[in-house]
Amino acid sequence: MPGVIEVRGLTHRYGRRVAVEDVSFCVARGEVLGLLGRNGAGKTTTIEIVEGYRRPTAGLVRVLGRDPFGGDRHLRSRIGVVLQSGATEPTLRVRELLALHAGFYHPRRRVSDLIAAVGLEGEERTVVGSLSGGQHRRLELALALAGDPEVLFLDEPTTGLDPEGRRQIWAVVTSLRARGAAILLTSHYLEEVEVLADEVVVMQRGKVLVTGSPDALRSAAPLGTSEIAFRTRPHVALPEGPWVVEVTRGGRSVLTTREPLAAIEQLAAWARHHGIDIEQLELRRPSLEDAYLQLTAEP
Amino acid sequence: MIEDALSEPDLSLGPRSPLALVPGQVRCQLLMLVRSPLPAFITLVVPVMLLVALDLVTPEMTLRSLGGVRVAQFLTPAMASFAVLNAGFVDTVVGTTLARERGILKLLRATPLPSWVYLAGRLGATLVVGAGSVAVVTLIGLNLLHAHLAPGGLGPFAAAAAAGLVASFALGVAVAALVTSADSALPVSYAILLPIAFISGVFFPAPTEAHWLRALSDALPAAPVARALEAAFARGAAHGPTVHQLLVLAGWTLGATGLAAWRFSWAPTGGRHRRGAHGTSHRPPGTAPTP
Ligand SMILES: Nc1ncnc2c1ncn2[C@@H]1O[C@H](COP(=O)(O)OP(=O)(O)OP(=O)(O)O)[C@@H](O)[C@H]1O
Ligand SMILES: [Mg+2]
Repeated sequence: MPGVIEVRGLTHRYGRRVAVEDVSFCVARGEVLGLLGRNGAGKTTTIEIVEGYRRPTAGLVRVLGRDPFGGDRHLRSRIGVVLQSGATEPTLRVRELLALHAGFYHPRRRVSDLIAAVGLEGEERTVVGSLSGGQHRRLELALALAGDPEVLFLDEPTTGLDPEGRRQIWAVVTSLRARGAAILLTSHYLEEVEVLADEVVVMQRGKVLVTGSPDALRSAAPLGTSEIAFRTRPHVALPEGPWVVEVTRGGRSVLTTREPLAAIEQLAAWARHHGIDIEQLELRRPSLEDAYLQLTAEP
Repeated sequence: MIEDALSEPDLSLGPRSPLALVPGQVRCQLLMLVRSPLPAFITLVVPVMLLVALDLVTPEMTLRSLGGVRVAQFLTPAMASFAVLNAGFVDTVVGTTLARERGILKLLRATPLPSWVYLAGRLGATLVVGAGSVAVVTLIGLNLLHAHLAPGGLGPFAAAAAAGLVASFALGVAVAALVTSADSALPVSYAILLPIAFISGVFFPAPTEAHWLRALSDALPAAPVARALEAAFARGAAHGPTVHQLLVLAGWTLGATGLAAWRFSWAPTGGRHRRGAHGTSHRPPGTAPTP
């Protein structure tokens, strides 16, 4: 099945500066793709090209089978956009603005439903300009949901939101995905990407560094896939093993390994042999954030 | 439970044609104009203040150049035309540039709202606010400064104001296409408007003006508005805008619309249409073809 969003060999230059180079990915119905990368990696440039704001220097971009640049009214009625730094008319009230935008679409959601979805109950009559930063972010998402978007673009949608609001937005995104929307998301919160994204594209200096599921990304991290943490007597010299010693501080050690089972066996044998107590033993996978930091580390 | 996070769209809400979106746009643009202090100041306070102030500094004076009429009789339609130019031109340049710089236009660009509906909304609000401001100026002139409106003059007076508002709105959008920053919108629009208003006899009738200056001002968009309003105000029924005046205004409207269609950008500067900070921002609308 062809993707709802198709990007092939996308390259974009601002004057002579190359911002995006040969980026390709595909988002299917009911799929969330997370675009990761450091500040300036080219995420916003990429997403804005797919939204139809810019014509790419080279490459092919299709959204619902069409070229999004200069996109027609019909295409725009089927997408929802949250910009990285979005803005709305500051003098209108929340309810007025939502009603205005909802009117552009058919089918469209009821204003009260939109307000409830993003948790802005009680702010209906607030002037947009006096919303807090996080409240405004919620409003922007509500505007993007005013129609029933088949494609949703979210450029750092939860920046500035409190943890509760973030979870609320995640629930909305998950619900929209369950309904079959294709969602392109950028975020600097790896936890968010882990929860939401089916597929991740890590960009570095405009190019794709890795593509894959969050799990695959974890395995691709050079330092292995698991962490073993424990506590021993201070100043014990750990033996060599199939691991890398990450930290030893005040008797607490963290080992990173690709072979957790062998490592634990070896560790246990060593401890028994020397009569060393191992306490607070923990085995955990490194977070996506650890993997991401390792992957994008620059010398 | 997660499904509850977002409701289904409400299918009982029917589709709306682009035309049906215009009233909603007009309404919201009106709310914005009414709720922000700058447009009210530009459109209403400036012409009213000038009307009263210019009348006060010239008490008991009559204008020889206009056949001995009282100053208020000249000033009332003149300040009505200044209100038209402020509401149509200055407000549009300032409001549109600000909406672009804030990124409001960029967000609208991603919605199915057609651009012409947005502009029609702005135009509709401009017509309402401009008409209100002309009415206030005229009523002050009639009631406080004892000016006199010729019988039957109301119709042609309103027609001249409407034509002036449409033309200056189109010019405002065109200049907003050239101005790159919201900070420069107000100074640039007055730098364009005030000299033109002066040579077009909006503030004082200029009895000794040079022939070439008169020819120039007749070809610019301010003089036709001012002369048509004066004629309707002073001479009434049969004195609406002349064909020549309407042609000049129509020419500017068309030229400005063409320029706007060519150069207007919806993205803030630094976006798609990144331009030099100074290059084009101070160019007057002289690039529009003159009729
Ligand atoms: N309008 C522009 N004109 C010129 N260069 C630009 C423009 N927009 C972005 N750039 C450059 O392109 C590169 C990529 O920028 P982009 O905004 O796509 O990064 P990003 O990955 O979204 O970063 P962030 O995480 O900070 O949002 C940067 O080097 C930036 O300086
Ligand atoms: Mg960005």
